[in-house]
Amino acid sequence: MKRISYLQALRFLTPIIFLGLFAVRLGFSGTVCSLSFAAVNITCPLGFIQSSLAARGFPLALLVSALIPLAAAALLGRFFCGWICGVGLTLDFTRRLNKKKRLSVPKDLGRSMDIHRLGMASKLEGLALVGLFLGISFLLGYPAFCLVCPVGILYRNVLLASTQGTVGLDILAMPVLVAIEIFASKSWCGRLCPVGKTLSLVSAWSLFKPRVDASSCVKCGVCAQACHVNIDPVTANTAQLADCTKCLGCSDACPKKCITISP
Amino acid sequence: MKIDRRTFLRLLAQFSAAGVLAGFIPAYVKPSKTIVRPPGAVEEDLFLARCLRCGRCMEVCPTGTITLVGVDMGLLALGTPRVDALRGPCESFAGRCEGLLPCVRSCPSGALQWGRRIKLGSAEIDRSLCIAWRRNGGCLVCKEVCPVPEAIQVQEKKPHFNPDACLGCGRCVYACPAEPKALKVASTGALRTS
Repeated sequence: MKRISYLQALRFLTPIIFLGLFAVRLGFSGTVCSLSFAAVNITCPLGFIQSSLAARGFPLALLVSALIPLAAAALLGRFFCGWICGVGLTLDFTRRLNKKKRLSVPKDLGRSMDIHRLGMASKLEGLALVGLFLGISFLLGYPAFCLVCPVGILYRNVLLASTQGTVGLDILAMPVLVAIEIFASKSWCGRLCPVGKTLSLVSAWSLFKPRVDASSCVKCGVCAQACHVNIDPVTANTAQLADCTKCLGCSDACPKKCITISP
Repeated sequence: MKIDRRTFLRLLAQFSAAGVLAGFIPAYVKPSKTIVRPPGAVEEDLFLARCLRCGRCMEVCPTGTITLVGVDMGLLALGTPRVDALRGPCESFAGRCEGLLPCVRSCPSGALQWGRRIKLGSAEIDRSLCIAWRRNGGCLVCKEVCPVPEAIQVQEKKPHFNPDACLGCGRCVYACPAEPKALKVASTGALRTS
């Protein structure tokens, strides 16, 4: 197996550190849905929008707390997805293990799930899903995605386990997601996750994007294969690069080392 | 942007599935209206709309009485806080949290708000399980721990509960020595903020 770079190893460590900090409640209080860090409240932007639509109003402080992660995403892109999110970490591990073990996927299913055959559908469904959940939230009066949000479920159960020593049945969403990732690789974080898509919406002009040095690039396509969120760094436009989670997968995979993640 | 028929049908199928999953199942699996909410909870419908299911009220609760609703009480209420007197009493009245209400302070969404008066619900007794009622006296632990003078009245060595005076703090439930507990807190008469 290829050695992973120090930065890549660090990227696997940071979500674990954050999960640990949430578990021991050191410095942080709350979950990623809403947390307070050094007396500053930070709230999940998607949760904020859903809750505001459902309740037809919002406290001003909640708006401010939801703008902080949006501002961070506008500046740094979806670094949350690549460096902090525990679901992203879990699915990353799943993919890596699966690459080694090669779990057999039924041929038909494999074909129908192949990201490159989906074309436009894979680009639209994430955004449309955000819209769908916002619509349900507004019409039926509850934050619809929060009920099933794997990210929220994971951190909520970490908090439940650390404060009360139990976990809820909803944690079963994690093995389900892992199973989906095995059968339909790269389907969650890049294609479907509404939280990630919400961050993508403001990330188009963020700093740190994969830059390809065209003079040494041989267009081998390895970087596109390595990307977790189905970007082809060589051909991607600004809108597609908004999905980039700064995971460094492309720059590590590039055989010519001609991709840098830079402003 | 051109969308061919296959893509369109695919999206349609996916969205119907997601819509059913996220919209209609929870709507039909409505939580029972009997969930006892933490102090300062707004009206139930608004509460379900506002609550971010973030768990911060549970985290800051010093008595550990706030826990999170599991899937057993309906998907719609999943992850929202409830007060479980078996875990500890709510000390928002005559206790550690009086005038402080860490749960209300921690709530970022406005689902929990400062209210003029707190009443989580009221304690209910099952006389067939109560030691005093079964043995004609002997146990008045509930009366001893109750912070509200009029909530429990003792007549002929037996406790009588007054649901109007009771604040639903759950001290009696937590302390009740009967096995299984003769007392529980129901959301009956709970005061919700608006």
